[in-house]
Amino acid sequence: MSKPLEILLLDDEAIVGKRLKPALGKIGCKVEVFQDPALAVKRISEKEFDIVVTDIYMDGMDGMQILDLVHKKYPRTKIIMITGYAMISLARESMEKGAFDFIAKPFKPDDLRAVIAKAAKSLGSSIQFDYNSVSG
Amino acid sequence: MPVLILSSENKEREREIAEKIAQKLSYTTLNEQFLNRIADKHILERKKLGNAMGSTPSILKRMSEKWWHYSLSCVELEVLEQLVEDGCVCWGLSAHLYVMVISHVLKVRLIGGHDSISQSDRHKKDRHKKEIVRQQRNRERWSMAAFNRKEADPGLYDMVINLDQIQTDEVVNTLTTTLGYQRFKAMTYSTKNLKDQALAARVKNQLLKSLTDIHVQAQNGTVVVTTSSVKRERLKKIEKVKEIVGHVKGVGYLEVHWNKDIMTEAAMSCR
Repeated sequence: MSKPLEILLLDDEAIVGKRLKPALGKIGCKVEVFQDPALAVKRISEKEFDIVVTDIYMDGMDGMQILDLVHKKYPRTKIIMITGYAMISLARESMEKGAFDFIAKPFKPDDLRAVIAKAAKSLGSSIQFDYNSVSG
Repeated sequence: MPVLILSSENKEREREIAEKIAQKLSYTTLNEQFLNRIADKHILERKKLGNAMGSTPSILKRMSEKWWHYSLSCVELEVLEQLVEDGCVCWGLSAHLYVMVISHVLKVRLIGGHDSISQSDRHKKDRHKKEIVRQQRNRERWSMAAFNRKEADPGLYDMVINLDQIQTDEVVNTLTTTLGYQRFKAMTYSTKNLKDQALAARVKNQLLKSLTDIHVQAQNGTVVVTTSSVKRERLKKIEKVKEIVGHVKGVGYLEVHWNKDIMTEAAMSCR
């Protein structure tokens, strides 16, 4: 059996981590959830994750800074941006700065699972996920 | 894959640039020829559909406003569904007016480029200039009536290129390079937006078959239809919308917003 994907999930809304952690666990991912960007940064400095999922607008530090930091420190890590304030300029900026994908909230757990599966594939790992099951 | 949408006053140069880019990037193309397929699929007269893409409704042209809006909605629907499928270079289908805020779509307006028509005679040259101005006015009138947007508005585009100043090959190189930028990469957000727009177009197309004054927005399968009628027709119209939309694939939840048609009410009260 291959090593499980290690994911850091950062969102200042507790409900996001609470909902997504079990959803990602179901496809065999090991997830660490953070609400405080400072604690997430500390953890990132200690450990290289396969995937970082981060909200953009948070108090103290925003997701774009996390994106810069992770992208510089661990170029292999795939960064997925999630936001409730999606705009075309923000989406394009995120991709230009090296984000793997950009998702607008609200989204279904299956939407994130589909993106995680794509990220896993580009990392050379594999996750059992039926893309066709994701609607719309 | 990203999508390139071109809009231009000079159809020949536009086609030349579009085809060169498509060839260079091995992209598919979507242009006026696609109208043949749309006409076949929606059982529309091909010539009349072509006319609808360039002129506003008129009794003289035997083109009613209702048919005009419906035929344009057929084009909008088919183009959007095609763009959802794969990246391509699209021109000649007015997609720049209805494909909005999709981050992996690069929209480019090509202006000028009329110099290649050599005019030694000054009068001929003046006539040619006047003709261009007339065509621009017609296009603006058409785009406002069809999509409530001014085609020449630079705010609609990511880039405006003056063909009087930049050669065709330079334009091709610039656009192929730009399409390679990470910022134009398709992502979950942009793909969903495009699917939402395609769903809204599908709903609008079905409604316009029998109704008028329809505006549709869609997000994650939730569809909001805004319509108007005289007060006494309110329930009838809302029910009709619900009945039609109920059969459209992909609609999860429907909300109908109704506004009073003040003009018709006023006209009726004067009778």
